[in-house]
Amino acid sequence: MTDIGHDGARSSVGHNEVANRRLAELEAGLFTSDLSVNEFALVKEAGFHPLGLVMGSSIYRVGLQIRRWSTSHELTTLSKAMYNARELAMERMESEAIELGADGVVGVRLDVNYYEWGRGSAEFIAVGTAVKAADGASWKNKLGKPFTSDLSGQDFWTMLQTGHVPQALVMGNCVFHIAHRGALTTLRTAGHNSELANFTQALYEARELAMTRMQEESERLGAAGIVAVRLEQKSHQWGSHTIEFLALGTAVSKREGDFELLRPTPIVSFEG
Amino acid sequence: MADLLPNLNGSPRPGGSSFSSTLSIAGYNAMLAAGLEPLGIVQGVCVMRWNWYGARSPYGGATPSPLSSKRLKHRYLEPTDGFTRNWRRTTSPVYSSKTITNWSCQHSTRRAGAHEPGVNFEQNWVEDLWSEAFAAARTRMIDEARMLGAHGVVGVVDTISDPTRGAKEFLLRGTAVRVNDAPAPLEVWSTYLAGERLVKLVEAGWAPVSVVAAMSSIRIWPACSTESQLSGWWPEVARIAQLESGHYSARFLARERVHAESGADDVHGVRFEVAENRITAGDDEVNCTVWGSRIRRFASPELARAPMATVPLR
Repeated sequence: MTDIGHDGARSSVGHNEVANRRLAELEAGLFTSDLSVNEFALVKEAGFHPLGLVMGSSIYRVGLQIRRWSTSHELTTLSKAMYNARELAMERMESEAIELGADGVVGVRLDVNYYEWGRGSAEFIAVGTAVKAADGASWKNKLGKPFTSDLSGQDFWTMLQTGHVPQALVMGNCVFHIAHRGALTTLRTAGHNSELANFTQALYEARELAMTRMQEESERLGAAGIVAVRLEQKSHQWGSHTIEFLALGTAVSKREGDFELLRPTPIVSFEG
Repeated sequence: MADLLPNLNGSPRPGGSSFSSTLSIAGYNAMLAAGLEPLGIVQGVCVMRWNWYGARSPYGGATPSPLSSKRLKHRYLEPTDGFTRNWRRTTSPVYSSKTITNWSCQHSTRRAGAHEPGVNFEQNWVEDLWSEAFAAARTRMIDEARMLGAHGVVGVVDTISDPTRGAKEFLLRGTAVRVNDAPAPLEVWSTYLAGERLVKLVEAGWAPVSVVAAMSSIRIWPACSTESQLSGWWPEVARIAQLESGHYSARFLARERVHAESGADDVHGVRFEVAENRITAGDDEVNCTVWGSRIRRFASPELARAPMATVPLR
């Protein structure tokens, strides 16, 4: 029930000439990165070299779906569209990373942009920094692909110290229509303030569906868990009664061996 | 309440084989180092029908105006302390409201929208509804945590939003955790704190008990002098005593309620939020909400480790 039929196989997308030239330059040894200096230092400290910025995008016609005015329900067409568009962008970013021979991508940002020229369409972009292990060991995930993660350089380093390794950026979404309450209904019920159980259930289920889908992705990867989960809700361009609930986090699995956890040290900073 | 618990495919998400957590990575590390194992994200939701009451309110006059009712006017002039007013509409429950203060103006002119006498009164029906919604959302979140076999919920975040006309959604969510090698507590605890901050607090000898919150709502029907001051028509620089009193009462009541809910325990990380709402000219409202983490001392009050002095290079 929770699977809304997202395209399982990600489409293979060829890079254009400009992208190929950029990737060729990166392969020649030049690296680019949007990591801050601290992030860069810690990625290096963790034993990884940044290879270059990798990116994928998808301009997607999200489409329309009829909403029932007074009933809360999931808009599955929109849920699938928003999910698949992000997946395409991620897939394209991953294929750039594969081309560079990367073990993973850190600091992934997943954005949605809307333009005046594309009514009903949106651009989904995934950008991150491809990294490769300095010791030549493979850090690819259980699907044999470079790992992806939205963790910053600092978080990436800290996560490795906890004995976990990123598997993939996992997500789940649910576009939900929240029923309207008419002015007459509102007036008729003035003086009857009490719980609206159907609304409670609907909003609960919408968030729950997003989190369940995210968790199912993580379980398909055989991950131990999902860390740094963000739960977002946005109406995008649909009006206030249609909301996308998005759950996004980094699936991690345990590394082999014993790891001593970092003990936090209380500090007093001399900074003002 | 049971019908509002997870019911997806007959098996709730929290029973999955992998954990999930909203903690930061540094926080996650700190929790693991302190022996707390994250189990999953838990949430509690309550959507309340949320209509306004009162003369000049957007939804009509369920509250008779003191100006239009001699009977009520008379009663408003009674001694202020302990004064309680009840009224009944045929379709609504009985609400009681406690008048905080009365305000009179001695001169004969009256600005449009002003009341004579002015009155500050507590909107118990709003407060009760708020408390009921917060408690329901908290109970549901705790119930989810209990289903996971958790000992507590950390990093609780709460939001209040308006999903549709005349409704408010109360949402509480956090990360359910289990304390390694410890027996289950009698009650699942909860706290707004997470990660390093929670660990620091526990190391200092305090245990989390529960998230607590309270709200107070004061309606202000300004006397003519107050209304003139609010409208910028008062010739002198002066304190607006009626408004000041309304704000003070709102803060005082909210704080008292949080203290009352916490019993003999302490409340850490208190957050105040005051919202002023001008419904129409001559009809104002002050709402004050207080949140905090109820904590209990279990060990002597001394830091387990001395802090290290650092100078960041930036």
